[in-house]
Amino acid sequence: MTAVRSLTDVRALIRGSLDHPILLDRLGDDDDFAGAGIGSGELIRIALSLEDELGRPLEDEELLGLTTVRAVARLAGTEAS
Amino acid sequence: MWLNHVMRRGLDRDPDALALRDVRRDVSWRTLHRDVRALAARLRHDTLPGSRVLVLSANRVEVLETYFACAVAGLVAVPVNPALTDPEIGAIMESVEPSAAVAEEAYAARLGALYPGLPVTDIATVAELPDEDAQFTDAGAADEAGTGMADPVLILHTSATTGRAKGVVVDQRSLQINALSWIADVGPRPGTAFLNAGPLFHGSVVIALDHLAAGGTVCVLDRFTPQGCLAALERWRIEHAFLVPSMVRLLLRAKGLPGTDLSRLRLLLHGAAPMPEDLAREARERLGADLQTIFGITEGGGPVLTLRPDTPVGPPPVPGAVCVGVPMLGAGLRVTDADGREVPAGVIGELQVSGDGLMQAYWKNPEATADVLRDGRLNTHDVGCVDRDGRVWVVDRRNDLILRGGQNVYPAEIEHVLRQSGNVADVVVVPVPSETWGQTPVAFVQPTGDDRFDPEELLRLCVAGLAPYKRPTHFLPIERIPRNPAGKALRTDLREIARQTLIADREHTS
Repeated sequence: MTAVRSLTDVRALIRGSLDHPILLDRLGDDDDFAGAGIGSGELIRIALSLEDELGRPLEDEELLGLTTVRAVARLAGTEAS
Repeated sequence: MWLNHVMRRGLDRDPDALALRDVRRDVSWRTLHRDVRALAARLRHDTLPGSRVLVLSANRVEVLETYFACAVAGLVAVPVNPALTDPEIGAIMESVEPSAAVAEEAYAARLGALYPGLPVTDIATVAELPDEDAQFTDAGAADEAGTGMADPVLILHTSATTGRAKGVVVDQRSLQINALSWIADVGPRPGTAFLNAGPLFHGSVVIALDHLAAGGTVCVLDRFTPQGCLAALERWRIEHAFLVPSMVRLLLRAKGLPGTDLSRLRLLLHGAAPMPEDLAREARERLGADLQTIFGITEGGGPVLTLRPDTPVGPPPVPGAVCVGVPMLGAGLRVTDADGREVPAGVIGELQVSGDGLMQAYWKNPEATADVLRDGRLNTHDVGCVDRDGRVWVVDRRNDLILRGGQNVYPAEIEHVLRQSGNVADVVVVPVPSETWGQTPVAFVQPTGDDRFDPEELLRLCVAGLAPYKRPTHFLPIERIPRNPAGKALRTDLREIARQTLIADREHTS
């Protein structure tokens, strides 16, 4: 398992799941993914990448919470620490 | 009439058996009957018979209850994808002129801005609506009320070649025929737990209605995620599920799959896009279920062909062809040449389907209707053949439809949005293969001049004007769009250029 340690690492993980990474560049750490035009298919890929990173399945509540860069970082950071 | 009968039959067989469930509610047949009566009374209060009722909601059991209520009240439900942008939803509303809406609270303000004065019922309150309308308090009366078999009950919108969504008008007879053929060819039993993982505004919703007609329980997933789907399969002890191949691929990637109890899952039905053989093999092995292919088309009333599990299939007649089985009960199929004459087995032509399940028409669009419906036959725009054993093979599509993750996207919709840019002289959108989604759209853009190619601007236009699933995954600049002397874009050439360009890009990146 590779630990995700910073917002930069998290952004790299998210970037790899997007069709248009430029959408991420316009996004603040607390901005809502859906509001920025990131679609449900891309959110599924972010979740699967995070599962790969963490080495375990994500729970329903965790999935629902993956709405911002910071939320992804929080989950990834918790696991990494 | 038909949906009333489905409800009546469930009530008669076992009123306390489960008809619907989601993460919020379990709905027995008795409760379904109550909720439907109450909502029908509410809608009747706001509308005249035959009016359209817009349904704008994410998946939840009340969406299906709303379809039943519209049928009972003699109204036409118009489900709309909430992921559509305001201009897309506005165009649909302008076309169907709804008299009322049933929507999640989050979308009520959106509807108010798009269509001021429209009465909106909060879909979350259906279970709390008073059940006091005398006309519907008696179950027998409800059977006689509502629409006749030939009256429209649903208008399902599909992406369109013209750039504006087309409304497929579905009547109760179509739902009846589809349910009877599903019961005959798929065989759900009373109590069979079925997972509805797809969006309830999609044409595949008829499959959920088919399971209810069999007395089964329809379990509604709020939204598809691989993790949520696995949890639902286990928690609700699902026996039958309908997934598109993209969903299956994502499911197989999920970390939680090995620890999930799928012992009740017997049959995985798949459709809306071709299922690659390697994916089918892996799904059979790792999910432990039989696979059954469904070939459906919204204009055909839903599923029309099926390949049942364990049916021996020979080699494809041409490389890449996909076997979709035989016509389901009540559906007919023939293959025709360019002049509309039926061709013999083995000869490739256009697939046409027939039967009482076909749509009535496209809503307020006689030209588009005449283009696909002739002499009681529907032109699917799919190209294929029938082999010597009578099995149908799909070889390719004749028109430009892009199938992304089971959802239809026509290039014209995307091209229309991109042409709004002053920097775009010409644009053509084509599909490219995608391992996850089957296909994705790619836009070739001919800029108005040097240095006028601006992918950021193009993306902005798409984010503002198109639902995310319709957005091209790549914008490729091109000096001039290749066209034939009649001005028709050479889409086949562009598909190949796109494929080669993206392969080269990937190799370069890696």
